[in-house]
Amino acid sequence: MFLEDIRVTFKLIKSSLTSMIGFIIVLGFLLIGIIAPYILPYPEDAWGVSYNIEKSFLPPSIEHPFGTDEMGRDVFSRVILGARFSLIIAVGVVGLALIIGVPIGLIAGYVGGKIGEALMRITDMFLAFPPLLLAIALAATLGRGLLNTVIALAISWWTWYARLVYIQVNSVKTLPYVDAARVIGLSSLTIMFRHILPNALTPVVVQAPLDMGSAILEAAGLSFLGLGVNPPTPEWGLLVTEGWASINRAWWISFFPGLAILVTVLGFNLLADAIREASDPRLRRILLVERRV
Amino acid sequence: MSKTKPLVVENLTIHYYTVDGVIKAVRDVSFDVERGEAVCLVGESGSGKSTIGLAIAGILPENARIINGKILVDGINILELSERELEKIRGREVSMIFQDPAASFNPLFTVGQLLSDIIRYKLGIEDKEELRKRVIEALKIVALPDPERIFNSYPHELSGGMLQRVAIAAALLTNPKIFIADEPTTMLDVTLQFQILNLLQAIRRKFNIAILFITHNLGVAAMICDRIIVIYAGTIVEIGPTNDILRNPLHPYTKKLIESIPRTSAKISRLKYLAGSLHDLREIPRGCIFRPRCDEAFEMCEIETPKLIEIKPRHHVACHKYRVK
Repeated sequence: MFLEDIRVTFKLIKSSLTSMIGFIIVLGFLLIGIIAPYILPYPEDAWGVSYNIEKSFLPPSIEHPFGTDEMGRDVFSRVILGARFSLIIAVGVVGLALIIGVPIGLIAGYVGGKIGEALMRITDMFLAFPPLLLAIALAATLGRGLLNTVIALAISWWTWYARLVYIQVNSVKTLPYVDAARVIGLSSLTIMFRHILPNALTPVVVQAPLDMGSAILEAAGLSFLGLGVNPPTPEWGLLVTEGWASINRAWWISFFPGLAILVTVLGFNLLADAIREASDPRLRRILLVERRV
Repeated sequence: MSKTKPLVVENLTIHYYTVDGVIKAVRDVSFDVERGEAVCLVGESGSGKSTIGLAIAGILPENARIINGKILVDGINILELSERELEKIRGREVSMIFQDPAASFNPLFTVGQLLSDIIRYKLGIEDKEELRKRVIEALKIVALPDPERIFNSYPHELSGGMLQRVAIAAALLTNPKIFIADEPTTMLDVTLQFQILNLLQAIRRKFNIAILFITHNLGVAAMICDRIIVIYAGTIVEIGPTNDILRNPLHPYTKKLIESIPRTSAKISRLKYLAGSLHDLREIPRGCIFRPRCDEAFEMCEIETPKLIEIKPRHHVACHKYRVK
């Protein structure tokens, strides 16, 4: 059944241009993120360990497709390697947020009562802050660094998953098959993990890839504000900041990392839209007919 | 051991706490079920019959409280047990099948996986082949054709009637002593109803399982049950052997229920029905709760709540009409 879902989802993606663009962008991003260190034209420039003052501020050319920055480093190499950091951040933030949020939502929803109430009120406390503000405050407290950025963003993020899972668990746990499992005397843990959780995860599966795009965007924001990763790590947000001072002289230093952020986030959003379409059985049927696939 | 009844319910009182007030859904209900006996709880929607079933199975909704009473399953009061002890008893002693077979199965697993799970957790058998053998055997008992195929099917691939059979097979896996069936045929069409009832009857005979059958359909009750318990607005109004109740109903409510069964033989232009609706269970009036709908009510009915009295052997009724003065 699950494989069938994937097959139909893929069919739907293929049938729509925008979904296909999103799919290709995300696939490309994942691929580049994984193999980036091995395809860099100027690896030393990319990691930011070399200086080439005589080559600084070169405009885009065949040799340096995205030009060079004030240190004479190849912007193309730095943007490519930046994909890896963005990928780490996207997967790290969403993964960590899921690890915190899903169990809390599951326990709060299934156990209910005072424990559930307490867990959800804690969640509400986190929700009371605007997410980016909370992330900024946390990042400022924790200090700069890749890991700290991921932690700061994940802590401002997990609440959404906790709420989502909580609501789903509450609706799934009243279904007759859960009662049936209880009557037959299966243990609470079995019921929770085998009968409730898998059936409550659908909206999370849809939400998670969408959030990866947002995580990249927010991490770039934190780096841009000087709260994210440490220079000279070629994180995209940081690259935009680095080019900021010389934007009048050399637009390409900020432009290309900015474009990378734009394209990647757009790709994730387009793909998430496609997944959302395919995950709604009613909409899916309509679309399958409309697009004649 | 053989002397203890599989199910005894004593003075059971259950309230629902809702935003609109406390609904006194079940009040002072007592009855018992013998080994291998089939007993029907009959009543209209909202009479509390399902609540009683859920209480015995231990799956009352969160807003329900058991105010008073005992539920003895094989001599043990399950209301005094901890959640952990309950888990052990459930399935082993009490099993339940539900109204909507399609909703009673987790859609993510095959029938085989689901049924194997039950045996694994309840009986501690891990061996894959043994599990498979047992599940297939159970599927054969409920007369499912091609059990091998059904073992590997997902719930949505099977029809309602097949799923209800699978549900019965699942409930039988752990050799329960009592089987609660909450309107198991309501969602099925008439021919299937008949088959499922026959199946339950056959299983009862074969394994000597007691069945507590919850239904609003007296016809269904007549087919399967030895005794009928008529429930009205949360209390028992009449208990008696099926034949007695159907031929000689004593309580005015039971009489009207039987009259309102549509008959094809009689030449009547209009269907008979029971006028009025169930009393608001937030405020229980003094006297008999059926009084507003009763044609035979008299002064006494306004003053005192009638108690169950034995009119004939094993035939009890709660009505002032039969009070011997």
